[in-house]
Amino acid sequence: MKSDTSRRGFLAGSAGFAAAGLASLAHPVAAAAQSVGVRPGDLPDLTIKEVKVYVVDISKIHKLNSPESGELISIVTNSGIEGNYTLGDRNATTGWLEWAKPNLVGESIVDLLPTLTSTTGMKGPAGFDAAQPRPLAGSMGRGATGPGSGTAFGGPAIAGSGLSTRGGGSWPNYYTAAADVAMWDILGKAVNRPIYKILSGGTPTKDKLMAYASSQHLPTVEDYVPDALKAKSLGYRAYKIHPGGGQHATGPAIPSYIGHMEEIRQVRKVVGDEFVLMHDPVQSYGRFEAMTVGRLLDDLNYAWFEDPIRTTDQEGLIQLCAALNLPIHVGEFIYSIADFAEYIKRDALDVVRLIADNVGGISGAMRVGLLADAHGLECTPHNWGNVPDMALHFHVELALPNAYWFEMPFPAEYADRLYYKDKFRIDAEGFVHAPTEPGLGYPIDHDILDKMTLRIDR
Amino acid sequence: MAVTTATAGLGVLADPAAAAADSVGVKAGDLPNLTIKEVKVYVTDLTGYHSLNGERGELISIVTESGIEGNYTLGNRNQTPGWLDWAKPTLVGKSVVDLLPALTSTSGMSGSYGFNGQLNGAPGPRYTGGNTFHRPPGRGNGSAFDTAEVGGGLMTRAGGNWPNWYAAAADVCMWDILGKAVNRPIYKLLSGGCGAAKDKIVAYASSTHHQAIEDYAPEVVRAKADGFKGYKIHPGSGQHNKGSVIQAYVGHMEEIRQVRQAAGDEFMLAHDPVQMYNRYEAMKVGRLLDELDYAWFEDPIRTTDMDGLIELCRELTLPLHVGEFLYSISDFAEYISKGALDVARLIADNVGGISGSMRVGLLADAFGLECTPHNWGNPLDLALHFHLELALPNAAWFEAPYPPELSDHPYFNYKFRPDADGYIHAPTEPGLGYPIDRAALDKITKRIDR
Repeated sequence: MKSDTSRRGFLAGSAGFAAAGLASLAHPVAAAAQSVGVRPGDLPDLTIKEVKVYVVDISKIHKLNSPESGELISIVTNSGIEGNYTLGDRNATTGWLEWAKPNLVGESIVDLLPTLTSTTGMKGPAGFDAAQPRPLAGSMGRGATGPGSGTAFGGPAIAGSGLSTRGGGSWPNYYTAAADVAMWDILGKAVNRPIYKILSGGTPTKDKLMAYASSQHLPTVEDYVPDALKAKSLGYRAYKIHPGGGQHATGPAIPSYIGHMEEIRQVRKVVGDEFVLMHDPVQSYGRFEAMTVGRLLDDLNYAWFEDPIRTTDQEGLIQLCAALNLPIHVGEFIYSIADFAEYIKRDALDVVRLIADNVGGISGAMRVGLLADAHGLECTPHNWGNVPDMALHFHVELALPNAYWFEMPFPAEYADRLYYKDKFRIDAEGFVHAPTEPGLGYPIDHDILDKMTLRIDR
Repeated sequence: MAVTTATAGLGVLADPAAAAADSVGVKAGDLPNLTIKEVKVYVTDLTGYHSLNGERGELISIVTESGIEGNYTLGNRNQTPGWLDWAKPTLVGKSVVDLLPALTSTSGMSGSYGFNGQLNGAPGPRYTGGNTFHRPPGRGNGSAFDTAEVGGGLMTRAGGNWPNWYAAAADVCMWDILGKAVNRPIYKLLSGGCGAAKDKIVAYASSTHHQAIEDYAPEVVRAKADGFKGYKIHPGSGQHNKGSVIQAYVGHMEEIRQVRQAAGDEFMLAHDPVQMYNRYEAMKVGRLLDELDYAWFEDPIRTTDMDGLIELCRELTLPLHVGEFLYSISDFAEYISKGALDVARLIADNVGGISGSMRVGLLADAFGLECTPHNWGNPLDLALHFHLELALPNAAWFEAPYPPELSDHPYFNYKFRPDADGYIHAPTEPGLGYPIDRAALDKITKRIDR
């Protein structure tokens, strides 16, 4: 539409005088609903009625995350909508129910979401804010209670949070992160949409994502070539090495990073030049080892180098980002939005990595992803765990404009859970398709869950 | 809905009112139908009304199938001609649930390895490149909601366009609708579990641009007497009442001195020349502001002079507030990471409405920076920025155009005034929170464009 056309249309519209008033309020269905006490302005009642935990027997499954305890949390609203998430995807989160009962029951999801409790904790520059109904906490004080860390929902650092922060505001702890996911599940069900469609709003979303096979930490150097070839034959277009002990199947011990370099070379050789490869030693190198490995990755056209050294060594990361060509993915071990901001500002990362459980759930993950997006950086949430863990990160990836990859733990069967009807698998082109069911989008098979449930804690 | 199988839901579903509602097509587990049924514009006669911005009397309206109406006025920053022509094909038939948040300003990235060249579904080039300059329509810059080419006129450094003024106005209306749908003032929705939502904010009186140096000192005394706890100078031509012409910035410095003297040492003062100075003038004025303990220096030089801003931020002690003339989230990110501002300022109309403003505010928050949205215009303009200030953990001020009567409006009964302690109190009505006086609106409505 050209602007002159639009102007003409605008003036033409002025010809017809229309009656003022709220004609739409006279809509018959709405009027009928009103007469029976359901006002058109009513939501389903999203007040939380009950929280409980299904304790499920998972003794026979292969756990990707060791703390996974078989606890499936449940938040149920007055209107009967249930949201779920599993505990132990990152942290054992003992005592969730004891935390949840006083903090959640009786509150509305409308008021609790988004759980943006990780903030600077600022309280107003000129002191006037001291009169506000919350304690004067100091702008950047360590352990301050105040906005972001002192509400009923975003409670102060409490038992079991275990998160480090540099005084930039605590993330919601693992308790709230789990609750956040379950509440997004509820909200999606309340409006009958998969979560990613709500998160993305006016931004068009993807409906599928390219997957990469993400290896286990395999014992020997020689284990990786067959693993990568198997992934390729299954239709994957990419493969990420999680290096293991870095030792040959036979022979004397060698330095791990030397063994890893051999893995890197062997894998590139067998998959060919056009296959996407990545390397993720999960913070296992020193600076020197990381630089040596990184140069080999550059040589062999690896697509990224993830968590090369410990995340707390910000100077080392800045050095690596400056010296290496391939992007450094960092962020799984960052627990405060303020730290993400600093790492970005100081070029201590090239791509922002995140684990939703560590950053307050879906609300916090979106905030991290959009912070990266503002800086023109990609964001690659991990996917590593069971069905709801994979699902929640998938929604974040689908919604973020700057996320492109789906991490598929390899083999994919490791993420399957009997009480979910769906399994995450790639199509013939290597894509994973978005769910169409509302909320997290992967319905629980309640018959099977019932059979596996040892007890329900309330 | 599938979820009604949840055991706890059975009791509620048996509720007779809900059952009755069900029989007329409203299911108990459903949102009110937030599909947009109609968009229209009330064209009002504002003769005799002094508009602080370019308001021409157009009150836009978005109405849902469930009969919830959201409103905003056009012309708070940009006249936005042809809003209705844009809105009809863009909004009608879509749900507010799908359109919010209007996060259309993104990096516009399209995938680093080419695999997602096909992700948008439509046939097209398989590989569009990760950071190519001219991107095809796609995520972030080509959606139905983000109509980049029509009337946008916003500058960007290829970091993704903000939704234009059309979309920004619609965004505000839709938040108004969403607030009404869930029966809460917007700021309560925005702040979520943050709990940082304030329920009142200290106001500062914000002057208009006056003719003479001598106009300012009496005004700050009046504002102080009215209960305001702060005062911001918008300098004018910087001339004395009489006498020969002097350099404007020299005149402004005299205003700055006179106002501090009249207001006393403990009164909060700020200075906002709206990009009027060059680097040298800004440095001179800034040093005086430092000496006289002014609280901030806003838009000292043109916003596009990033190096100049970096220099001023480094040299001056008081914080520089910058951002009213930034139109892309990428620019905000750059200004922040390069130290070209100390406090992020924003105008919601320029950054995609409420959705975009929250994104800017939370970006600043991540860096430990304050955010000071402006308030400047009619009650709806003031209201929308007030919700942002109430919701953001890092916003602490309400800008009250001075005298406050300048913001009063023919069809709003509410008048923004500070209480005895200088605070403006949060609205309690849902949505934007300041109901339109329908009888007054009807009286001055010339026609309704549909």
